[in-house]
Amino acid sequence: MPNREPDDQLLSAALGRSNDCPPLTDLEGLLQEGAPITLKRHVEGCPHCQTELHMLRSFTSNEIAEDEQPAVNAIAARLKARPTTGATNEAVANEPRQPWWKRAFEVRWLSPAAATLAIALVVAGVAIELRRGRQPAIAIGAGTTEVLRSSAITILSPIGDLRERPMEIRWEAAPNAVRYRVRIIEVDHAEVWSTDATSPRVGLPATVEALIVPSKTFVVQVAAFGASGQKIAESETARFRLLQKVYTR
Amino acid sequence: MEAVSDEELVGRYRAASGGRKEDFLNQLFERHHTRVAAWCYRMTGDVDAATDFAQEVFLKAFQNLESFRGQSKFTTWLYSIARNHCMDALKSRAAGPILAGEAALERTPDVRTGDVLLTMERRETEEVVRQLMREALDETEAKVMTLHYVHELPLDAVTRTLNLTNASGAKAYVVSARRKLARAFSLWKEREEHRREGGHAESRA
Repeated sequence: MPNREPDDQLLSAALGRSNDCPPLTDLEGLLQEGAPITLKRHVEGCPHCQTELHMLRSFTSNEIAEDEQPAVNAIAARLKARPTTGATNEAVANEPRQPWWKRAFEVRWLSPAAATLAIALVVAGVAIELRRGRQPAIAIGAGTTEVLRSSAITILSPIGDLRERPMEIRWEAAPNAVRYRVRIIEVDHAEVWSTDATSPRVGLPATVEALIVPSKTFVVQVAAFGASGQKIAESETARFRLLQKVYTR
Repeated sequence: MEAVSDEELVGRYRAASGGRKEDFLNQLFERHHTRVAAWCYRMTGDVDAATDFAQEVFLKAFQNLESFRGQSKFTTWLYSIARNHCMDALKSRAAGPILAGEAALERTPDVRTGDVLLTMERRETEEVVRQLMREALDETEAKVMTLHYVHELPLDAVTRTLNLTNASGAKAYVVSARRKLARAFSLWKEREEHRREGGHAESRA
């Protein structure tokens, strides 16, 4: 994976999707006769669209190179064989074979063994949570301040798959916090942006918004600091991703 | 008899009920499983991982089949699912250490465009780099750079995706492209300095 140094980010931005780049549904037209000339001209001068078109063409043409044919055959065979019930007894084996994807649409009753296991897991989970709740807070310095547990700060937004670019980061305020350190990082931990805030929300500058490109996952982290400058709480990492606008109506 | 199109099969799937639905899914799977298998293999280079990826792609596609509205061809829709799924999965896997070869590549000193770029406005810089790329790189180099730096594909996946047959695959293209860019950038810088000096001389005259 590329190491995200300034030059690499620049290359990524310069090669990335621009506002002029058409959606995939338009690029699809270039695989057929009669595509608009303006579209052709754009693609001729745009490495990003050329690459997209190359990948789309290679997928749709379904041409398989000689050296990859054995692997593709093996994958295809495994996909077809992927079972089914996996049962060995004769009664089940005599049932019609069921494709694996069909099972995704089914709701099955839990078998008694699975139900027992599920109950055991729930009991174990509750027990662990109760034990966690009894753990003492960690003392700092003279023991007058408490460190909140690492999950004390909850990121409210942005989280998950987003249809629109986020314009701000919001989180639940931590008691006794006088300052927050907010970071946006990439999944490889390269920092995209960071800032300090005194309230539990911060707006994103336009330059940062521009870096939030579709399909790329980012991570938000917030740390809270007390009056003495000591870190008193930290958020879990929250991931978000801007969805690619390909099939919007 | 004329074959039923994928889009029509999806329409029939929607209109069907019970076991009939399964028939249409079967047909779509039969038609497309090798292209999905090939795509996933190019992304991963590994039969086991590719089988898992391909299975996940079909599950996603079939579970979201109701959302397919025919605004694109079915193959394009399936491609977008396969592409996004594999790229996301590869990115999440790549949180680990950088491969030795790639790390060495990133440290190659003579392919850096230099700190000067940092002194320019970001938007202006991007435009300059975009222009230099158009002028300096051939089509394959541009595709390799896009797949590696924009889509963050590992170099071996880039090699397979573009079916590169040279000995060191995509890595050679990245090295070559970065050197060309560095050269193009220093030429551009010289031109800019000349232009500025010319401008100053004219204003003094």
